[in-house]
Amino acid sequence: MAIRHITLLSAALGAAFMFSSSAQACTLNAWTVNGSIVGTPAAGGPAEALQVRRYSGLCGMRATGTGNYVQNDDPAGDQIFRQRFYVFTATAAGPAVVYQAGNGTNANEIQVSMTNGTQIAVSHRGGAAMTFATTANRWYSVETALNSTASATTGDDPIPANTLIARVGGGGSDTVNSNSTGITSGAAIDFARLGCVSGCGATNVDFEEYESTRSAGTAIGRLCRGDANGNGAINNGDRVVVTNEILEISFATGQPDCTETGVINPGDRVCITNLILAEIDCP
Amino acid sequence: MKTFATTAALLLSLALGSASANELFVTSAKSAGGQAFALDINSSGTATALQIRVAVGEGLKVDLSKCVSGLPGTHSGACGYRNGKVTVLVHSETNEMLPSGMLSIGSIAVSGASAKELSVVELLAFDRNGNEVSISSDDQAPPTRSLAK
Repeated sequence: MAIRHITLLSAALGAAFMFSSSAQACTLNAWTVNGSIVGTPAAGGPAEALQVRRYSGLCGMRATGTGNYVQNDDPAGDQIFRQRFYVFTATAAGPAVVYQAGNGTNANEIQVSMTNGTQIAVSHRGGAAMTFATTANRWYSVETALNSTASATTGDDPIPANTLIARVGGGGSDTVNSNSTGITSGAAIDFARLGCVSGCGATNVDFEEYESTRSAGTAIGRLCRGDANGNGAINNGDRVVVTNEILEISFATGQPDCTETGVINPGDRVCITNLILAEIDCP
Repeated sequence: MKTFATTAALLLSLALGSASANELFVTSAKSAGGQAFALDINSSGTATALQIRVAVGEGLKVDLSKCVSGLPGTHSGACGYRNGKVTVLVHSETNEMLPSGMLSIGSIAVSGASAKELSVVELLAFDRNGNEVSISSDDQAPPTRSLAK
């Protein structure tokens, strides 16, 4: 199984990062390795001059209007292809195409668009879109799993033959809605684009945590919401870490935005407390 | 007003003035229609937050109104009863450390046919960075006497 993980963070820091320091550098350089940066998408984070929202860690990407995106060219005629990214549901009228995966013949074998921040649509070229209602100005994960071969895959998360599965979840909930559609046999992926490919107008859209794999049977899944210190568990230590970020003592390096609102505030502490009391832990 | 008696172990710990590690003390006492449990901590001054889960049994009437009533003013908390367990969370809005020494957290009252001795099933303490610090429990201490009437 080949796994690709394109990170938006050029140099991850293992320790908490003081607000007063400016040594952190968020870049999109990872996308230039067998890929490209189109237009002027920008990396930033809470410790950066450019205050880009982040879902996990210390960096995120902002696509500043239409025509600004990153492209990865690692796929090579992949007929089994999974990807997941997080997008902040900005209120661009749209439909704003925020993700495309395709090839030289068809740029939209997989396409994800966003409308008014209240709907995410996932489609395969020529097919009906699978739509998911969203709340504006919240983080959502969008995961797709493509199998354009004539055989179903096997494993923990099998994909039927000639099928595209879409999963969308977020907005402060662990509920993930899923749908699937039949696709054109033989559809192949040679590249993937993330950002404001088209339809964003001048609206800024923030992205996070893109990951893609060729795994036949394993879903990528969501990051653990509320695991602020990134230790793989939800407990009162996460609340401490969120408090430190609110007090501007240090930044949380995990997923502190429990409410997925794009800001870290006391609501996230309440959210973490509720998760603990409900005995909800990381998957 | 009802008050809890401290256990001999708790008093001994106080007398020794041990501050090397955090230790939770659970003291049980009979109350009208059930059991009441006092939660106290001998704090070493290294923790800002606590997470305590105690198994009490399912289908009981559990009064959590005083579960964090004894905390110092720097701290607050939240409690819940679910799946036969009571969760007690202690934290500070400004990540202040719990002061050193013996501190009261609060008390839990349990009543119902299947009320039994409480047992600590999870116990975590965290420093100002959200890292776990050492904490142990002595939840087997026998009650010294019934609640004062």
